[in-house]
Amino acid sequence: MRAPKIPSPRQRGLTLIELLVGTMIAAFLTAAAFAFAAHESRLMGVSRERVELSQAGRSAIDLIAADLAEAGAGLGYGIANGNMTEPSAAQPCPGGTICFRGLLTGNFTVRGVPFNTAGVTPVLGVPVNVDNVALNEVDQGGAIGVGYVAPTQAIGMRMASGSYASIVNFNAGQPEYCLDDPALGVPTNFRDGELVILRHQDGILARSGVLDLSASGACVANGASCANGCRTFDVNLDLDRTFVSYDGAFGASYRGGELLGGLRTVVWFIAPNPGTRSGTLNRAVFDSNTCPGPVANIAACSGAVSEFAETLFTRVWVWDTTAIPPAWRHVGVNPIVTPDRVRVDVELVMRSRVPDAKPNAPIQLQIPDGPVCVPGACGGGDYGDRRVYRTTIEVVNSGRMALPR
Amino acid sequence: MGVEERSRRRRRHNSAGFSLIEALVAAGVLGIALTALVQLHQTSMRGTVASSRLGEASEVARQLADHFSIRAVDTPINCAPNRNNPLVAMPTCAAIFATNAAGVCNSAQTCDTAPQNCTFDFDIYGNLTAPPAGPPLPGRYRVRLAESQNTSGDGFRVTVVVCWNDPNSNAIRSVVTDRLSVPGL
Repeated sequence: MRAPKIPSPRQRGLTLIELLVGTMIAAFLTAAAFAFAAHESRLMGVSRERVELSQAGRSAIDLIAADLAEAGAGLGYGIANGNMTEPSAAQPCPGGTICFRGLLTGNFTVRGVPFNTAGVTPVLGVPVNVDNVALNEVDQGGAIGVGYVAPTQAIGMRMASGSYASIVNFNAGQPEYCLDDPALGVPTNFRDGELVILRHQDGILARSGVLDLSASGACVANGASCANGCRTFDVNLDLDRTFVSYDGAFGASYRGGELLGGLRTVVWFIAPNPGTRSGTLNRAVFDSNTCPGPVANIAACSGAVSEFAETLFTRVWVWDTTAIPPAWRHVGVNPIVTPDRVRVDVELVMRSRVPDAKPNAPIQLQIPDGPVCVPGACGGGDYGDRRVYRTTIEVVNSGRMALPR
Repeated sequence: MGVEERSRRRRRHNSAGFSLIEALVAAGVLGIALTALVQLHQTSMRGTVASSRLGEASEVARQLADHFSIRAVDTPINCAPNRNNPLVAMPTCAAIFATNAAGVCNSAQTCDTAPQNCTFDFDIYGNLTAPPAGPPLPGRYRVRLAESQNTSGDGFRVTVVVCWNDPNSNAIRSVVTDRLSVPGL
């Protein structure tokens, strides 16, 4: 019988020490690999978030700019000589002056929905009403942090964006308008129930109403003056949706003026996004389809454009030809008194959903003239990764071409 | 030597562990792999930073082009080339860095109300400062404005050049954009 073979020390396997050391090295390498992968993954996530943030900010401000450029299309002007239906309380025109009515700033109400009612902040010596939106900071772990209040403004704009026709007859009995193309026959360019605006031939008077084509037919009085045919129409007064440049607009004749369809009021504003720590940039549309009224439900009227938004500010300027030399003048929330050019500066702050790796100082806004910062106080700061987007837009349809210069 | 003896020697050799050479080669391979990985990471980081800077510079250029294209209709850009000196060549970024150009905007307010000047430093948050000699500080961009009249003579084209120094490559980077502004359109 042979004695059992005793393995050499190298053949006995690993000792406990060797096993522990090997395990520690393996664990260390594995942890390093995971940390590296996690860091790279986070880096990629941050990059992706920044690209999304950039695209969201740029596209949002481009959309705002597009609306602003069309503000006032077809509206004419308001002249202060009495009570204006909207927005008489916030923006009365001084006596004898001409006001551009395409923009809504300061404290205004659209179909029962108030905007910018939270407080008042002095800006360049002119009171500017600001709204506030309650948001939450982002801590380093990405969790919802301390709450703060971000100042923001809503801005509204009105414009006619639909069909266009010349009015050849207008009286209480039966107004008539010219068709553009006889092949169209029945006036298909206008829809029954559409919100339209009547503009006087001088470009100053204007009033809106609901287009009634239920009894539309061939013209009786002035059909011969239209090259491509003529149709009758009615406009029903709807006070909840009516824009009136000034009181005289109710009793005026719009013969020789214009009928413009698709009248709408668009309001851009930021609201807190429930359940999250961010704000939502909204575009509310008040027209005959989206928010028919009489009192609009803002949730049903608006669509979220971006969930990255934090603060929106605007500043309206007019080209003041009375200044020597002529210069741009900031109007605050006062009436936009000008027969000339109108310009709007826009400032939008967006915040990434992913917190930054290090604390960031607060951003001081450029439009409010003073220490107005996000987030909250100018001395604070948080881990929010923010970007500011600005643009300057000249209102194309300020109507200046309709007035004597 | 018998077969059993040769087999025993082979087993003893196989169970002898790694030699120093083997261990060094393995460590070297691991080191090379880790070095490559770290370099890849650094390259990735540099690319991210450079991409971020490029995006910021593009945004700065766009914002300023929007702003000054409207103002150019009313107030000439106060540096050549402009409507009064159309034939002057636009300076390069290196030239803009080298000289502290006279007539800078010292604050946003000055730049907005006075005839705007041609060179200033800007950051993505809208903070505007006078440019020091040399490249702009990290996180800031040197902006140079210019303008030209369009061929039909009824509008102005504003050109915005944004320059910065890429700290990774120590190279000068730039973004150029322009915007045409025609009154009434």
